[in-house]
Amino acid sequence: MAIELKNVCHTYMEGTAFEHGALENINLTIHENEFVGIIGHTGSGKSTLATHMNGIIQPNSGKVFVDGIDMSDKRKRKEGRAKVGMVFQYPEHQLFEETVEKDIAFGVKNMGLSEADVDERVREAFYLVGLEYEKFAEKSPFELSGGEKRRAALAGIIAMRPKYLVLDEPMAGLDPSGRKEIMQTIMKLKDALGCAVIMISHSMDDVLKASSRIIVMNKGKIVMDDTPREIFLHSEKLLEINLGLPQGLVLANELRSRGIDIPKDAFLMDELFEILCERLGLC
Amino acid sequence: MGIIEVNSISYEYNAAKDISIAPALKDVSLSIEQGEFLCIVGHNGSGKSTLAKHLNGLLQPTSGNVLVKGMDTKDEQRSLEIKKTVGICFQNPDNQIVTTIVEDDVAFAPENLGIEPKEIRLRVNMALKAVGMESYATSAPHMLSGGQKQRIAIAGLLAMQPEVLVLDEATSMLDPAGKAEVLSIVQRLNSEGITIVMITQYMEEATIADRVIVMADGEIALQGTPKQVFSQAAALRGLRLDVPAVVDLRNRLIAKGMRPTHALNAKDFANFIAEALGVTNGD
Repeated sequence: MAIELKNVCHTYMEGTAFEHGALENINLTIHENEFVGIIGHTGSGKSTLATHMNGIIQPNSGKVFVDGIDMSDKRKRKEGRAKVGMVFQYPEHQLFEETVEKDIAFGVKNMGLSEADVDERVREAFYLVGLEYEKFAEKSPFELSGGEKRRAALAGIIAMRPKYLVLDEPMAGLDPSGRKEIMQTIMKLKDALGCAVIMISHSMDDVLKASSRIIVMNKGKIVMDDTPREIFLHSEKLLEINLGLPQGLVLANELRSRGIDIPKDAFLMDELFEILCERLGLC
Repeated sequence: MGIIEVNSISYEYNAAKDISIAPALKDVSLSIEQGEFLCIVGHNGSGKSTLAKHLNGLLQPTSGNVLVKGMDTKDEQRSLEIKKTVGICFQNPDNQIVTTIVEDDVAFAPENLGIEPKEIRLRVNMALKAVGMESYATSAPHMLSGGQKQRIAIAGLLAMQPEVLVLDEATSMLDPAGKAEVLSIVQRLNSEGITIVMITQYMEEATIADRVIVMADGEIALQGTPKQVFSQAAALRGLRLDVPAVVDLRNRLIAKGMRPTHALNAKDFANFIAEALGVTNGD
């Protein structure tokens, strides 16, 4: 079972003077249980790619399948869509209900479940995103802090128990603690739900920490698709397409340029800590 | 006296009747010196943006006052002059662009200030040049990247010839290349004499400032040079913030017995390590 994109092309405003290609012949399979990071600069097609994954937008040519369901089939699309949860950028802007509980329940209520099932899923979602039910259920979503709002928005998607969770910039705009908390929540969710996570992010450090696989987009194409280690071992390619590097790699490169011998495959801060400890005779 | 004097201001958002909200600012005092590069950091909801909106009178304090070059922001007669002196750039570039052609957008503010067309032409050219966007003068803003759009928003402010530029998380929606573009322009403007007040959630960005102010729960919790502030890792973490990753590595090595250093970024830290190891080649 997987999300499969086959020869997917997408052109915005086709047939007008503003026509521009957003995706060019994308072939991609995302398996159950993977943690896939998608990186690429603004306008590289990351978000366009993500919105194809649950049929929000349809390719101009090519096909998208979710667990074998053809997402261009209008009758079956709904079933496929239920498997793919989308959390957009700044999802807290989509909070609208009177209470946090009602907001989290909104999506799952529309799935035709019994009231008891809805209630169970909503309580589970509260728990999974780390919001205490008793404390938050009756609050207005607008009373929450930035990080709490984002977790409430995430819970609304979680309650639908997606098999694939697509997150567009889930940490943007949060303070450092909020970023850590959301990252930990996402890792916890992945384990608890056994879902695949597809995370778009500008933060190379976050992508490096969390992903088992990284996809690099440039000008509507997939230019790299590999493990984080392999991707960052070829950091010159990332610099060529104007992407940033994780901070550990930046430091490793600075140290090497000064003639300090740092192994080629060391670029995590923890690895550099061990190496420098040894070089400086601290351990 | 500073170019902006914030004198014990407090601010309360008009809460809905049945919701009690803590004041966003509590007795905050601050003096911003001409030509200074000031960074404000703080957790989500700490009052950073509320403070920023007080700096040119977009918000009026509930108590206390704000003086811009001696003008009280409550003085409606001086409102235009204050807003000409202090320009604010916000987070989302898409919310700040009002016209369909780049140069019209940059001309928008000076036109509204009633400046002569000839002078407007000069200012628009100068502002676009200052942000490196002169070759896009006749482009459509919606076809530009996020970083380019944010540069246009900054050019629109520069066309007013402000003395102070306030950037409220102006890089948070940009990719790494876009962030770097905006930061280098801000640094250059500062070197040319413009006072900068930059709000950010990225501790690495705050290391380039002359002074860092840490906000927490509507109050100034810490302030000092980046070296002073980022030497207080535990205090920062307690305020939902953090130190830059390089500083964290540095501190871990110092705890192991390495000679103390104040290096805040990869370059300075690599230089320090090279010296400690007696490595002389490289730059």
